[in-house]
Amino acid sequence: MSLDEPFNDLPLDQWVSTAERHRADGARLVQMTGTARGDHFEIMISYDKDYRCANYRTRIPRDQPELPSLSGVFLAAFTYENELKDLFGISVPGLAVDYGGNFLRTKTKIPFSGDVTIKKEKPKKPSAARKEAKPANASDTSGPEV
Amino acid sequence: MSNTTIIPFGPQHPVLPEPIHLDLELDDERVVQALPSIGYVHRGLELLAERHDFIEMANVAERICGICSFIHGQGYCQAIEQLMGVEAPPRAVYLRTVWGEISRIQSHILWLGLSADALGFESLFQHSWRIREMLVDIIEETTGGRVIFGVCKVGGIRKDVNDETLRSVRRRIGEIRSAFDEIANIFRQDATVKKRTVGVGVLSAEDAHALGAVGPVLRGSGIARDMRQLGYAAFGDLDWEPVVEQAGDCYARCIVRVREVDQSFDLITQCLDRMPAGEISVSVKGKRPTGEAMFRLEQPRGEVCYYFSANGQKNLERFRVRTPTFANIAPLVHMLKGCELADVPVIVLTIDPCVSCNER
Repeated sequence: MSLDEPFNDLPLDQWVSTAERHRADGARLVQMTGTARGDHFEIMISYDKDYRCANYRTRIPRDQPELPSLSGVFLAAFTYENELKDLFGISVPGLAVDYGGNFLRTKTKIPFSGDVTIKKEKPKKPSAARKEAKPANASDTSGPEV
Repeated sequence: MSNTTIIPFGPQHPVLPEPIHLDLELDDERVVQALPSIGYVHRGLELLAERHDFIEMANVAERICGICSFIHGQGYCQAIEQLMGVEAPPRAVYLRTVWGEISRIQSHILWLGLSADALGFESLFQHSWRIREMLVDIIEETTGGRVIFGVCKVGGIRKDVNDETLRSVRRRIGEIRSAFDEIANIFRQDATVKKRTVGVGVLSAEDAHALGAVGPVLRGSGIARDMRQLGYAAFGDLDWEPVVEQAGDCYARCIVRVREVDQSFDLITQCLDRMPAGEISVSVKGKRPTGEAMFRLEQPRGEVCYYFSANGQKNLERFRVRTPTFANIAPLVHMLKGCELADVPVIVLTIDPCVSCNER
């Protein structure tokens, strides 16, 4: 664990070429993730060689959330890119295995985009819970209470 | 005309305690392609970091998983301490290492039991879990918890362990090790185990590296990469080398775990021998994490990455966990290609899939 591996800013047009350079250098893809900021998304990526990580950050605008796929360079990128698609709503052209937004079957669609407000569910009253648990066509009320 | 059939594997399956789904495209009994999908129980725990105090979040981090719970808490606390420029006292660091290694052993033995069950070896499953129970008893005695330890906090640990208990732990670790040796030999030599695992689900070293495999999956393919070599916690002071097997098949991944159990017993003994005296925590009152960094640890299932972005406020800007199971999905898809349908459960099990971690 180390703080001396900073995240370097990387222009989006060097996203794929940097991956190719690290691949040629014998590095492996460690992780890829995103962060929703005000008017843009930050995408972070890490490559490792001999326990040293090279970390990069690129920015993509919210009005055109598109990230070129790295799955042609590192096949393992397909899981991270599908995750970015499902959690942040980022489009990834050229994705080797594209689940079309169904890799992570989350209840809330694109929950990490920063635009979603998840309301706390109020605890149900016991009477309402019993009513819900009762089958719609149940006519026999003599059975045990749920 | 294509003669392939697609059958669903999971999300509910006898070898899967948690939901993960694979669409298996079959040509007769041979797998042509496997397509995984996850997220059935995604909890969005990472988002909680943006709403909860960074001190409270240590409790959430520990609840990412019920098997490697302590190591998640440890990773979170170590990272926050570094971002705040705080150093936990040596005794806390050593006790964290002991609990982390006990977690690794109980996780591996749990997996060994599950794999024996998947192979149809019921009695081996029961003996594995009987031995695991002895370790869970030690966890309970030293921390008060059996699943969630709750002892790790930012700045150190909450609970000290007295010398008498540590001596008792040392003695019992020796007894557990003897008991484990008996079942370890079965995993190593039994014909049933070998028949179902040798030559099955082979992952070459080149593929393991290219596909980003981690943990016993990677080391079972001959690559000696273990994040404990970064020297976090007490690992920099201890004598050990990563366990490696060369064959890359299900048997090799199984043997890596068997040998890592032995290694963890050694590491615990070394820690107990060198246990420093002194304080168990430092005050972090008034301090807040600042900066951006990625931290890595070695969990029982492999490398886990934590990404932190903090701006000196009480909430983190972003907390991201890349779990080992997530990294091992691409290698799993590769291993399943061309295997027999009957081998799918065994191969899936050998990545030790932790859906709870994945659905953080």
